[in-house]
Amino acid sequence: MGRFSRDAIITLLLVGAAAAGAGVAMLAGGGLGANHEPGRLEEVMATEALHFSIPGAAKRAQNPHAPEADVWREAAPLFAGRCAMCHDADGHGQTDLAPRMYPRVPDLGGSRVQGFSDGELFWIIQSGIRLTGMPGFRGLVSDDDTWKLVAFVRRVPSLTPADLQASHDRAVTGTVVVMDGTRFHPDDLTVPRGTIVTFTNKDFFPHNVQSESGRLHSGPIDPDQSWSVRLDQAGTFHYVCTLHPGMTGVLHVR
Amino acid sequence: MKHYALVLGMVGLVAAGDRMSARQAINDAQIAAIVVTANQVDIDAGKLAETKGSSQQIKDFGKQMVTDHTGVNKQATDLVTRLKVTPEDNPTAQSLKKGGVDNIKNLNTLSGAAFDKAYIAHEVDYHQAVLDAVDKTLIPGATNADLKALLVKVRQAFQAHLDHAKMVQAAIGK
Repeated sequence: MGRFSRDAIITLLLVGAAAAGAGVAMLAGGGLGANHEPGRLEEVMATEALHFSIPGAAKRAQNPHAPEADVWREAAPLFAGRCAMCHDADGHGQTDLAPRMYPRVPDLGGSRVQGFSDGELFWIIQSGIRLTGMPGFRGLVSDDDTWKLVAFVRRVPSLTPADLQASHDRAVTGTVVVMDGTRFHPDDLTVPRGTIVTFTNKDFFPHNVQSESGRLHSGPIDPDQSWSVRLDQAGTFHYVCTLHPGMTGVLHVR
Repeated sequence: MKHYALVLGMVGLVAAGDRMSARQAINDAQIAAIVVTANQVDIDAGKLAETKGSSQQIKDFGKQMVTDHTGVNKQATDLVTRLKVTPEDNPTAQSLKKGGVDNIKNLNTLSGAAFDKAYIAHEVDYHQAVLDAVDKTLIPGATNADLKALLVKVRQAFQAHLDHAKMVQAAIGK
């Protein structure tokens, strides 16, 4: 048996013993329920295991959006929709769900989360973390949006309530198109890039939104239902309700 | 020829509506009956077009009429329930119903492209006639503000249907 193999076996035994110790400590400390605080050892081991499990190339991946860019604002509505349920709107995780989850929902502004590289945060959002409440969003959230969420996480330590309110206002104000009387209101709208436009159906029957390019493609929108789309690329989109061909509109994204 | 007879019947409907409004004899309960019947007549024709239409455009248009007019009727029914109004049968509603039955009878004698043309021609005329009745009789006659608002909104849908029907008619050729 060579020295390398002997070292490997010793390392494995030590890791195994540490894991067993942590397991015993967990059981002795209140079993596998989710209502008690995790021990320090358990937290460190879990964090190290997470660092270890993320592939090297993913760890080193760079956020394509420059740190000084304001892209975190664009991610705010997405964060509010997908993440705030557990992490809270400001990312500090003080939701009513948080103390009921195990492991605890981390403070995204805390040193533990901020200690991850951008690449690691991207990987975590996309892949989730096994045996925790963190789902993997691959397929639900695009790569570009994930990088913007990473930018949002980086912003959490300095985020103010005014910042959040401004992002919210920006997402809501002037970006609703109402479908009423078999017409789009307004039927000609100009918005800045990154705006979320919401189409709300106030008629008694379904409508849809379909652009020539296919960028806007809502499927049927039932009465009193809405459909939202985020427009990141500049351009002019002529759209129509294909169910009512005279019902047309245009969106200019600047 | 049958088609012209139907159109004449609808002209009679508008005229009847005019007479009613001149006498101010129409009330909200009667208007409710007219709205529900007008929608139901077009739902019935739409269902026939969905199954009997030969071109996809006609089948799609028929399906759209079923969906939209069913949605409008649900709102109208919800409103009259809320207002505690019982729709009251009247000559205009009866005339609409008879016109609808006659139209279905006529369409059932046709098939293929002839069916498509007759169906869409009737849809154009029907929506125009109903729009006229809405403008000249129903909206001026409605006393309840919610009922009036519903009619104004429904009018826009009927206008959209009329425009759509004309587009389909132009596409399949008269």
